[in-house]
Amino acid sequence: MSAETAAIRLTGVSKRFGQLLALCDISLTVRPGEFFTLLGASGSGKTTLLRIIAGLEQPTAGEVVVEGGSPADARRRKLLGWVPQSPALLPWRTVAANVQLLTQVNRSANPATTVDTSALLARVGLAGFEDALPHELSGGMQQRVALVRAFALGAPILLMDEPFASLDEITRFEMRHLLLDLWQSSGAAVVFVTHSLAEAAYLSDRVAVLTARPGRVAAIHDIASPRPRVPQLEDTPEFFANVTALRDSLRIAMAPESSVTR
Amino acid sequence: MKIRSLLAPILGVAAFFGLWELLVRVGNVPTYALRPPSQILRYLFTESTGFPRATYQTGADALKALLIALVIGLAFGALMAASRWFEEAAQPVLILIQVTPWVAYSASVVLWIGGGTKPVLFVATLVCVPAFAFASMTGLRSADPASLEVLRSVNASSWETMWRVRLPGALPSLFTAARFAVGLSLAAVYYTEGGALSNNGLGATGRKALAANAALPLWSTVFCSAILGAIALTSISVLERVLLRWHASQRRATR
Ligand SMILES: Nc1ncnc2c1ncn2[C@@H]1O[C@H](COP(=O)(O)OP(=O)(O)OP(=O)(O)O)[C@@H](O)[C@H]1O
Ligand SMILES: [Mg+2]
Repeated sequence: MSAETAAIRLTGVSKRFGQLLALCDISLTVRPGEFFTLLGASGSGKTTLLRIIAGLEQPTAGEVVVEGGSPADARRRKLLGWVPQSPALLPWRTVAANVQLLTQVNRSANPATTVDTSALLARVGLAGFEDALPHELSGGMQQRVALVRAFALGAPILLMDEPFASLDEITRFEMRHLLLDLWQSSGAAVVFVTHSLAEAAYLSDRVAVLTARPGRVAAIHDIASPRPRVPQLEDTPEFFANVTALRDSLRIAMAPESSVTR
Repeated sequence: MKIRSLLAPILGVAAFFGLWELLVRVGNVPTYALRPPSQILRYLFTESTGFPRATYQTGADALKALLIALVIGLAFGALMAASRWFEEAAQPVLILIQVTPWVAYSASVVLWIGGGTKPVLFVATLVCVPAFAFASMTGLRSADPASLEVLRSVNASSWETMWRVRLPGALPSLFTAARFAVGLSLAAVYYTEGGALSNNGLGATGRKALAANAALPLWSTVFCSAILGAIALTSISVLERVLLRWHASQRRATR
């Protein structure tokens, strides 16, 4: 794949925290518009990898290219929509104001066409909540606001760190569907971090399975289920097969280091 | 709901004055020591002259000192929040200001700067700065790391981060500091006014009354100072209701 067709390209990325080797020799390519998932056990360095892509953390070794430039460049040009694990809404800002926060800073880098945020809020079922404060919303609603805040940038890349981890199973199920809906009309590439097999199998085009400490790419799975994906997909044999394949892959990845071939 | 929350403090104050009145009348307190509120009120409304002016003067100076201290304290707090080195340099000075009894040096400040309003503002501002500086420092530092990271992800400038995340997040601790500083500022203004001869605030009136052994005017200055403090604290509460609508401290329990 040539450099122009890659949204994100990692080459030999390693990260060391003092004595601890968190990531080891990660090479990955995320294609434009692709839904790419990082699946791994706790401590496998998923968050660290996402932060390296965003330039919030420097790799110890290796190269990161985001939209043809450095991660710092990508941030300067507002090409990254960041969705943290907690919604991280500003409690004094209304829903509408929180969603607009990122377009109000570093304005010179805003894209020429603006995203209609009230339409996005309506899409995720938050019409009528524009003037509500975050503490008046449920956890799931807050996370939806955080999603819309990232999509409001109109950025070509979205980085999401277990955005649904703190939600209950029913809400998570709804959120998957909402996220796909938003993503499909945005055309952005998504790097999605999770340790939920169902989430990975439902959402992704491709899933990279990481080993634990140090994090290495153990396998990359293609998820061929056709799009648009609908909640009923989760009841199909095909979906079960994908989940099983991911589970097996994860089990091998978590086994003692010697069994991982690289 | 609204009326009840207004009624409660009024009833509380009324009960306090009632008790005071009772204590003075029943307890045989000598009139040169303590006057009942009824006499103070009668004196203020019928005999006295110059109290509205003096109260205004004292209130305005205390407010000015608070605002100047807020600005200086915020500047110090921002620098301390940004740099450990600056924090370590500034902290002992601020603590020194905080623990030194200002009563001890206020007269020297008058000698140094001269009479009038200047020494009054100087002392009152000085004693209020540490509270605001420490409150800003902790407030600005306590911003949610995840929110800061969201702003970093789009390369927001540190000024934008300050203005949109850190400063609003520091408001709760600034309000706490303001509550504490109101009393400090009023006391420092009152006391320094007493030493600064050409000033005509409540402190100067009180000092003259004390020298003339006039209990009624003296207690009237105390009374007016208390009113000023009450007005200040009520204003802070109202501001807090409006500006901290989002904060847990301002939310009523639902049950
Ligand atoms: N700033 C840091 N300083 C030192 N060690 C760190 C730092 N950040 C992460 N680590 C270590 O790197 C390893 C990977 O951490 P990371 O947070 O990336 O894992 P993760 O896959 O996101 O885990 P989880 O699923 O629990 O979120 C962990 O062992 C962690 O202790
Ligand atoms: Mg993590």
